[in-house]
Amino acid sequence: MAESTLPPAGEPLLRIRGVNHVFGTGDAKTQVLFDNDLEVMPGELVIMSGPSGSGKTTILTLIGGLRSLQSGDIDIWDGRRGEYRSLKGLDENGLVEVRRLIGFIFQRHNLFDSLQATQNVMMARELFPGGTDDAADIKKILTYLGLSARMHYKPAELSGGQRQRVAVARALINRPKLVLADEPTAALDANSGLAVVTLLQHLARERPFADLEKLIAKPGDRVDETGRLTREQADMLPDLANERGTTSLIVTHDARIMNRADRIVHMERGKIVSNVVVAERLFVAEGLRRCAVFASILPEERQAIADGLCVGLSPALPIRPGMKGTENVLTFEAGETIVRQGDAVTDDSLFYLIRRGKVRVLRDAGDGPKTIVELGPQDFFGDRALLVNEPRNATIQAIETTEVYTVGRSTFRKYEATSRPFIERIAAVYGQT
Amino acid sequence: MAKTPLAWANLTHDRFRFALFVLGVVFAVVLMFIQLGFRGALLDSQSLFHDKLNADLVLISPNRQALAMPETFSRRRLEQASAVPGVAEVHPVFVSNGMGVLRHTAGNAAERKPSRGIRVIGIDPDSRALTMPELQPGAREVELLKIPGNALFDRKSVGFPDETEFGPYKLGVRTELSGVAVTFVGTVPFGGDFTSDGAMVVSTETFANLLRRPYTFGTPLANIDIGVIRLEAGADRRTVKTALKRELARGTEMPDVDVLTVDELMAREQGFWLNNTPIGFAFGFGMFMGFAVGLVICYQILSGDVADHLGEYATLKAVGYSNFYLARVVIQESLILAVAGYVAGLAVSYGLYLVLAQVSGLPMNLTLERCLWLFLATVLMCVVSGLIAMVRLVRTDPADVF
Repeated sequence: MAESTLPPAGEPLLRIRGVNHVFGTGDAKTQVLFDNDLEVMPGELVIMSGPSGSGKTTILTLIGGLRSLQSGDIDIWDGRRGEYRSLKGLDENGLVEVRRLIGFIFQRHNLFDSLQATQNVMMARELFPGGTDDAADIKKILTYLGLSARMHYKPAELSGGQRQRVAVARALINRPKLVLADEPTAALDANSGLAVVTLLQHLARERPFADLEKLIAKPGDRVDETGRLTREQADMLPDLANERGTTSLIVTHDARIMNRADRIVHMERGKIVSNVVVAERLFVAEGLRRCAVFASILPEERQAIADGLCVGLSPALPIRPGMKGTENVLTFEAGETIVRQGDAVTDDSLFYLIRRGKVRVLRDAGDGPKTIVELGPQDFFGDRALLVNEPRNATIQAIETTEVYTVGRSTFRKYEATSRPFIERIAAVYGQT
Repeated sequence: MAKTPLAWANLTHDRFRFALFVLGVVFAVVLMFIQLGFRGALLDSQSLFHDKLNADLVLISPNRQALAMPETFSRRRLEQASAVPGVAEVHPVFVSNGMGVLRHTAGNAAERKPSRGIRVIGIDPDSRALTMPELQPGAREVELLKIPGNALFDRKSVGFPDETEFGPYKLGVRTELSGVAVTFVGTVPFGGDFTSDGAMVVSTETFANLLRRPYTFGTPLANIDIGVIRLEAGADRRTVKTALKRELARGTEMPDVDVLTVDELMAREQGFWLNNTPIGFAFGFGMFMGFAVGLVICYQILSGDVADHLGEYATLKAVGYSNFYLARVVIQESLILAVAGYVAGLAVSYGLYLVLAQVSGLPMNLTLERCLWLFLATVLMCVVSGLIAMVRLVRTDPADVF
């Protein structure tokens, strides 16, 4: 197989912009997708959720090049070419090439009845001829998925779950950088489901061994009862997940996968209504919770504020210029002043939560500015002035390129006006200062 | 691209079904083979006589497009031809098609059945006008044939040698041809055709006695049916032919004789039967029907197979296989069916040819050329069916698999 590369650092693997889709013509014309935008970074496990008919499958088929794009654009990183492939206006041959970039796991596994399990997987492998040890690789992945004894069985001789595992092996055998899956674990037992998700996670990015250790059955445990991985499965993972950066878009209702998602995209009535990067959501919520102001409000209210700040990008990654939905994030270069001591508080004044980078807090007590403290990711500043309506009492300066989430004064006012505990808490914290 | 034998696996996955598939193609192949066999028999049988002519060139009346037409030309033309440089020898051949009615007289008169039509060929026994060994110098039959009333009977004639209607044709048996007694003194291989049940070779003298003198005034052998011309060693056939045509056309705009090679004569005979009679069309149409039936059978098989695997094919499209690859799978399936059906069909047809040749007396020849033609027809039939079945496959929407 040709070597596959990942997109440049910080760039998405998949970019969806303004995608609409219509089924039928004339009176029967029905729009099923409405102006959808989404960016997915390499190595993310993305869960697509939403009620039936919300457009999840349609958007998946568009991403996979199974349907022609009608409006908007979808770019997929082509690791073999080292460039993005736009799906806009692609002819059938172009779509075929795009499909080869992707590993598909279908709910209806659609294996060839006439072919053995290994041959079904080989069909996918043969799309990229020239592999030196194809048979061994197929054997490895089927063994990992618990099919070592049934490799040469035809689908009719396999159970539904076993067939699904063959379909998973078929999708992953070429180590695609993008996997599109529709309920991949629906027919699987606990162990197989865990094996599939763990493999997807390890193909996505390096995982701490300790995390993997937690998933392995203890000596004497029955795998079929605990649903954990066997030691043999765990030992095979490094060999199978020998490439990183695989992004998986999974339509599922399986809680076992939901809990392991990096990003959860929720769709309703043909529109992506929420696009949450779990790590970012936790990062922002935790950052806000550390602030006494937000610690005092109800968790769901705090979560709502956090969701409003999230940009749909892991805090480990910088925000790219021109990125959509980043109105609440400001970027400051090293040495740039974010807040100046003595500045009056206005309606435009903000609360800041550091996303990336470092800042220094300087206070001038008449003898020149002195650094009081340095703050880093998940630290916050600017809360007091907004609450007590006094000028800023310190200068905040970026030590390096720094990204900060910002909360407007109106948000503060909202809780100030409605939440008695909020006011009392504020008075307790800031009243005496 | 793919090495996994998907086409083979799809077809043979269910052995019983595969056997039925092949049987369908075998049926079509046998149908075509039989029609082709009859068509071939028509052509072969009508040129059996021509094929036996020992001639470099022949003279024949231009009106005689088929041997069965009683069109003769003057024997003087043959003499004229003998004078053309390059011509070594000329011999007349008399052919009667329709007047030679054979009636077996050896059996019980009360049990005699209706008579049968025999092609009677009259030659000079020493002329080597025909190629069979029985008529070569020194052969016993040549001397016997010189005796008036003796005849060589066609051992490939229908029902020979156990002719139930006319009794067995044993050597030395006396029988009756057109009311004149003849004695069988030997056999020659011809075979029946669509106008006669067989042939009989007699000397020119016997021929005159049997079929000319009773019906012709004057000189019974003044007009001949075919002139056999053999050239001198080293003579260029084309040059002599041109010279002959020129000589025989002298003084007339419409010569009463054609100069042909044996191959041209055969082609003319076959062309007549193919193009001027419904027989040629009938068997040609029969073959076409066999092809059409095979096409439908193959299409049913292949489209059924495509329908059965539509989901899987859609999956292959979804994972990145092109329409071209899928088309190749269907074409491969077509070819597998074609080869399997053809081989089995050939074996069955071979057996049927033997039986039919025995029963009908017609030359059912399974020539290499016909085998190749039919193989091509079988492949074409299966591939065309595959291409039609493929339309559905190409239209398969890979999005359906989600």
